Amino acid sequence: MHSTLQRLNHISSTATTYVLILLSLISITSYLTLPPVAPGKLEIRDLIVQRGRLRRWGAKEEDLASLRFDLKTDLEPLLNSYNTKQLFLYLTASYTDSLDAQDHEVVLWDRIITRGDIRDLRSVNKSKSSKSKSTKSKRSRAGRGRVWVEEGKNKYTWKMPSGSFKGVQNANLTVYYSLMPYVGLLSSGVAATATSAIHVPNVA
Amino acid sequence: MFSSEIARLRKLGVQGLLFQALNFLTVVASGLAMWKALCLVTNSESPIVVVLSGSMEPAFYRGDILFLTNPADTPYEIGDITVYKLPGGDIPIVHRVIESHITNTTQRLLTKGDNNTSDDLVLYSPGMEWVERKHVIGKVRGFLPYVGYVTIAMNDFPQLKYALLGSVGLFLLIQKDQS
Repeated sequence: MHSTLQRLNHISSTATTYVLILLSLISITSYLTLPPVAPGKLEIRDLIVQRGRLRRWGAKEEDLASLRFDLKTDLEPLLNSYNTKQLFLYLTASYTDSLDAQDHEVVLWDRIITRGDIRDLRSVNKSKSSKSKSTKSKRSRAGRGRVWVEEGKNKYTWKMPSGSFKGVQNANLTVYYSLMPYVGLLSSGVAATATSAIHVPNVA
Repeated sequence: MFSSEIARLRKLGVQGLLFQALNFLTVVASGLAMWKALCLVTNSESPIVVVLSGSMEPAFYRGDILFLTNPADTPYEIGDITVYKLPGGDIPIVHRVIESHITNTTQRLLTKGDNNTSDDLVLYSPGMEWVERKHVIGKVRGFLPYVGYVTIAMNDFPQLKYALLGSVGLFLLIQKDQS
C-alpha cells in the first residue's frame, strides 16, 4: 500500500532528478554548440591624456586619459543561441608599465545586451521601427546582436594607480564579450580587435 | 497517540536508538565531507554561493545560485565575475572585475556591479583601495537560477525554517509507523 505522502515524495524526487538531468544536458550541449564569432572592427579615434582630478573625495591630480572609438561587430549568432540570457560587451586596454614592470588591464566601456525583449513577442515588430532612440550611439536596425557604435566615448576614466602614464608606450585595445546563459556555464571571447596597438601620448 | 510512540521506542532498545543516531550522524558527516571535498577541488572556501543583492542585474537576481572556482596560480582576468569578502564583513559580494594591476607580489583588482553606476571603491573598508587575492573567494563559472531563493526565504522568515524542520521530523515518524 502506498500512502499519499509516499506518492508525493516519489513524484517530487523523480521530478527533481529529471529536471536536474535535463538542465545539465541543456547546459552541456549549449556550451559545446556555441557558434564561433568572427571578431569585428574596432578603431580608436583620438586618445587624449590630460592632468586632472577625479570628482572623488581626497582625489589627487593625476593623468587621466579619454578616447573615442568606432566599433562594428556581429554577435547575432550568440544571441540566437537558445541558452543566451545576456551578453556583456566590454572594451579593454591592456598595457605594461616599463617603469615598475606592472601589467595593467582596465575596462574603458561596457554595454549589456539582453535577450529580454526578443522573448516578448509583442515587441518583435515594434523593435524594428522604433529602435534605439534613447541611446546615443547608433545601432543597426537588423538586430540587437549587430553592434555598431560610432564615436563612442569611454565610460570609465582611464587612469593609472601610480597617477602617471610616463612608463606606458603602447596599449592593446580589444572588445570582449561575456555570455550569461539561462542556466549552465559562463563563457567569453573576443568580439572585436583593433588593427594595431595605439600609442599612448605623454602629458606635455 | 504518544503511547504508541513510546512503546515503539521501548521496542527499539538502547542498541536500536544508538544505531538510529549513528545513521543520522553518517548522513550529516557525508554531507559535510562532500562539501569540503568540493572546497578542496575548487580551491574556494565556499564554492557555491547564493546571490543576495540586485547589483548584478540583469545577469544575476536575488536567489540565483553561482558555482565558483578559484585556481591558485591563475590571475583573475578582466571581465571575470568574482565573489569577494571584505575584511570584517560576512557577506560575500558578487561583482565584475573592471581593473587589474599585476605587480610582482600580488594582483590588485577594482570591481563594479553591472547594475551600479559607480565602482566599488565606496564599498571597500576604510584605507582599502583594491581587492586582492586574499579577499577573493572565487570566480563565477556556472549559474543556476531561482533555486537559492529557498535559503533567502528561510533567512528572512525563520518560522519557515522551523516549519520545514518540524514537518520533516513528523514525516519521518509517520513513515516509521507504516514500515
